[in-house]
Amino acid sequence: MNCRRADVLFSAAWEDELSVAEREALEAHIESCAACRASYDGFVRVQEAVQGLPRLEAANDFADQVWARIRATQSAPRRAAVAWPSGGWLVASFRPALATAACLAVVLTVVAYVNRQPSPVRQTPRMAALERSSPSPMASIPQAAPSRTPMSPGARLGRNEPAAENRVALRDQKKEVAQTEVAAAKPSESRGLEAAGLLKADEGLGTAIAATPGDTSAGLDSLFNHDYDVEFALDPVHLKRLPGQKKLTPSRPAPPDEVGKRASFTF
Amino acid sequence: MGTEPRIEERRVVSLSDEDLMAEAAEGNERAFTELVGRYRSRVINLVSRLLNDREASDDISQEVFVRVYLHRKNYRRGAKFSTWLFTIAANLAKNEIRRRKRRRNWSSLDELQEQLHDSSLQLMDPRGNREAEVDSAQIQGIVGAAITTLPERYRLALVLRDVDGLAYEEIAQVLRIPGGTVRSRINRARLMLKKKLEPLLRREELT
Repeated sequence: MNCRRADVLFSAAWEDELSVAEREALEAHIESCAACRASYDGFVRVQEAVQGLPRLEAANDFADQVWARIRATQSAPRRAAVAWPSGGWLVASFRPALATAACLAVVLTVVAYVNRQPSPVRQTPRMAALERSSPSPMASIPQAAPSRTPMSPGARLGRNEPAAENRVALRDQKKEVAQTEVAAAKPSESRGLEAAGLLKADEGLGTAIAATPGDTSAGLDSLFNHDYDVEFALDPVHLKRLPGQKKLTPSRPAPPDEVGKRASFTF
Repeated sequence: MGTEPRIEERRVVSLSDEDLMAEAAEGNERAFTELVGRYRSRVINLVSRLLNDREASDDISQEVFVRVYLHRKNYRRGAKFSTWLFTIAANLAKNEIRRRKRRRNWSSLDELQEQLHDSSLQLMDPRGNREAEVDSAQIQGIVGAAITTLPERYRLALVLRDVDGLAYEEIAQVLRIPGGTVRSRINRARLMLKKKLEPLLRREELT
């Protein structure tokens, strides 16, 4: 056994974990090596000093202090809850609700801003052809004049169901188109609209019947997907100008010989 | 004091640590208080020897028991309570050591070693006058300071073994290291400590 090996075995010897052979070899080396004998002696003295360090005693009220801290920790949320009006309680209690409200406010603001700007109704070729064939009635009804033509509450937008707020703006668009279509179909007041058999007279106005991929060249002017033209089958509406009123009023039900007309636009 | 509380107190005192902890988990405050009484000094000694700061040790030791109580539902029945307790204590002490290192308001290892060296040189005063003699309290202070100069991993193993007297297996569980690593760390720590205290040894102040 050399001095290096003896040094490694000091700890095991102190713990009395050496085998008989190891112990005998270590004892033999220490007997013959003054340096290792002094080193082992120092090792033992340090161990005795460490283990002889005074035992620290806890204060008598240690448990009471622990309980006081436990109570303080447990009551901390309740104390915060009555900390009105410092704000801590309010913020802590309503943090999720406030976060949700803030997000909602941002979304609504964006939606309102987007829908505040008039969304151009892009004419499909079919609408353009219809317009060319009957330009004068379209010109006779100003586009800016709001139409009171009722829309069907059951109108659906195919694959792009808008949020409730946007339905209002979309309904205005529908009204415009519906009025345009109706006006275009009025060279003779009694002329009906062809709806390709998609509507019955009592289904109401503006029922969406198809959504087809359309032109995406239009700019992004709303939160909706602009990749689809939505086709509406419009109920026939018989517009009458009541005596003493400037606006046109629809007469319902429409005459039985009038049928709906398909219209397509992109929103 | 009525008869029933005394009976309950005797019953609680007779319970094992694990049974007390199980009852504490069910809300028995007397059982938890009994556990605090059994282990408060051991926890204080552990933390104090790791930090060499009695005042902070009291505070951290209280926090150890607060954590035990607040997380009492997490105690696994069948696990040794003392192992769980010392794990929490060691972790909080480690956090404190690291926090102090980060904040730099704690004597750095080099500074402590320098202080220790100065103290040792003082003890080795070659003139051998009376002023150089030290009492046992000073020696204990130097030994305690020497322990805190050990690297954290060696210090933990040494204190758990030589101050708190934990078994190697329990230390392995507390530190979550293999038993062989525990042994090597303790051995290394003891040799490092001996080397740091050599000035005292030469003066044969350590007896």
